Amino acid sequence: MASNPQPPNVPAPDAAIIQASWSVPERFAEVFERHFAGIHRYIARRVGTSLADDLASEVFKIAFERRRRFDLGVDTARPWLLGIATNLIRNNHRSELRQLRAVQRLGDDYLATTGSELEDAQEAAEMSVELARMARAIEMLNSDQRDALLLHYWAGLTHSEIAASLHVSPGTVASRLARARLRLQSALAVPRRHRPTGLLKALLRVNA
Amino acid sequence: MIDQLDVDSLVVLQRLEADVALPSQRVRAAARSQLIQVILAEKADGRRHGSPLHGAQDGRLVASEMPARFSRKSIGGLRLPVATAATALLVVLAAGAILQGHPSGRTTPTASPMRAILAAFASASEDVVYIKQTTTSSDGMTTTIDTWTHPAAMPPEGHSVEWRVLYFGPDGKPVSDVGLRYVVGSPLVALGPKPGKFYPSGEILDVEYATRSWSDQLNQAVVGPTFTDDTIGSLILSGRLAVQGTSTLDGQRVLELGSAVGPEASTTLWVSATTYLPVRRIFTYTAGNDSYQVHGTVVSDISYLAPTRADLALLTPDIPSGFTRTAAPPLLYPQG
Repeated sequence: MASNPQPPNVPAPDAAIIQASWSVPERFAEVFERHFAGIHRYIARRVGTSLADDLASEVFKIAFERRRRFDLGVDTARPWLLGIATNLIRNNHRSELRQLRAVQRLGDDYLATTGSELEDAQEAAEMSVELARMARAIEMLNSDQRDALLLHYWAGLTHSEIAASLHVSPGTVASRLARARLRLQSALAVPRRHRPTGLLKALLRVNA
Repeated sequence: MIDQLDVDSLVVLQRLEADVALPSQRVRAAARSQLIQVILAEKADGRRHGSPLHGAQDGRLVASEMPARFSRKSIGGLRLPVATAATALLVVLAAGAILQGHPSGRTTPTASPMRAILAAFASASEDVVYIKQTTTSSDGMTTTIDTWTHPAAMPPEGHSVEWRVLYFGPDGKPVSDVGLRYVVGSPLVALGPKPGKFYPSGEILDVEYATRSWSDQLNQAVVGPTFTDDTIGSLILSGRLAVQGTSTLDGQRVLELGSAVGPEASTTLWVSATTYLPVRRIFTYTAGNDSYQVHGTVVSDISYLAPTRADLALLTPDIPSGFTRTAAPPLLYPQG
C-alpha cells in the first residue's frame, strides 16, 4: 500500500474510518457521530419521530455488524446507511402509512397554527390541501417507487447512490423514479384542474 | 416517462418533509450507548473466537467479506483481527496467528521470562486492572477510554466480575461512565436479534454526561470484559508471543514483547522486568485506500492495583451531583 499520510485535522472519508474500525472497532463511533442526525431525520420523515428513535439506533448497530461489506471505494457512508434505514422502514410499512394518513388529516390543524392574514391563511389552506393530496399520492406508490422517490427528493441521493443503497441497477432506479413521478403527476393533476374552491373557503372559515 | 416533477409538486413534496426536528440529546445518547454495547459484544465474541485455546478461528477477515477493491493483494498479509478488546490486546492474538503461519517468524519465546509472567499473573489474579487507552489518528481524532476490571482474570463460577468503562470525548471531558457487574454462571440472556448472542445477566450502572442523567439497569445482558491476563497467558502458553529485548520505560526496566502484524499494523507489549506484569501496549495501524490513508496509534497504559477498599471503589462510576436518575432505557432489543 502506498504511503500517503494526510495532514492532521483533515476529516477522513467514511470509508477510511470504517476500514479503521475493522481493527479498532471504537472508530465506528465516528460514523455514528457524523450521520446519526441525518439518518434519524430521514426515518422520522417517513415513519414518525417516535419510531425513528428506535430505527435510527438499529441502523447503526446493523451497519457496525456489516461494516466489512461496505464498499471502500465509496467515500461517504450515507447512501449505505440510508439503504439499511430503508429496509427497516419497509419492515414498518404500517407505521409509514399511519404517518402519511396523519398528514392527510392535518388540514384543520395546519390552518389553526398559521398566519392570521387572509392571504397567509389562503396560502396555508391551499398548502394543507396539497400536502394531504401529496401524502395520499405517496401512499399510493408501491414500496419500490416510494423508496426511490423519497431517497431522491428527501435524502438528496443521486441515481447511482440510490442504486447502491438499494442494491439495484441505476437503470432500475431511473425506471422506478420515472414511474413514481408519473403516478404523482397523475394523482395530483386532476384535482388541480378542478381546484376545490368550496373546500378552501370552508377551511378558511375555520381560521376566520 | 417524465424526468422531473413539476415545480408545484416538488414544492409540496419538499414541504411535506420539512419541519422534522433533529433528534434530542437524550435520543442520541441512548443510540450511542446501544452502539457501544454492540461494539463491546463483538469484542467479546472476537476474544472468544480468537483465543488460541479455543480452536483455529482467529477473527481474521475471510475473502468473501473483503470488498473487491481491497483484495488479498492489498491486505492479505495483514489479516486484520475482527476486534480488539477494551484493553485492545486481542490484536496480539492475530499477531501470534500470523507468526504461526510463517515458521520463519519469531516463534521461539524466551522460556524463563514467559514463566515469570505467568507466575506474576497468578499472584495478581485478584487485583484490579486499570487501563488508560488513548487512540490518536492522523485525521485528528483522539479518544480516551479508562477501564477498571476486577478480578484480573476470569474467576470461577459464583464469583463476581466487575468492569467500569469511562469514555472521554475529543475535548477530554467524560462522555459516559458505565459500570457492569455480573456473577459468573448467571443465567444467560439474549443480546440482539441474532440467535446465539447470549451473555450473563447482570447490573449496568450508566452515567450519561450529555444528558446529565444516570440509570441503574438490572437483569441486562452484560458484555465483557476482556481479561488481559487470560489473553496474554493464552498467547504465552501457545508460544506465540516473543521477547524482543529489554529497555527502560518511565524509569523502570522492562521486557519488550510482540511483533509486527504485516506491514500495516504492529503491536508491542512492555512487561515490567521487576514484577513481570504488563505496563504498556502500543498498537499501530494503517487503514484506507490508495487515495487516502489513516494512520492510528492505540496506547494502553496498564496498572495492577491491590484490591483494597479504595481501589475496589474505583469500579463504581461516579454520579456527579445534579445528575438526575432516569428510568432504565428500553432493552437493547425487543424481547419475545
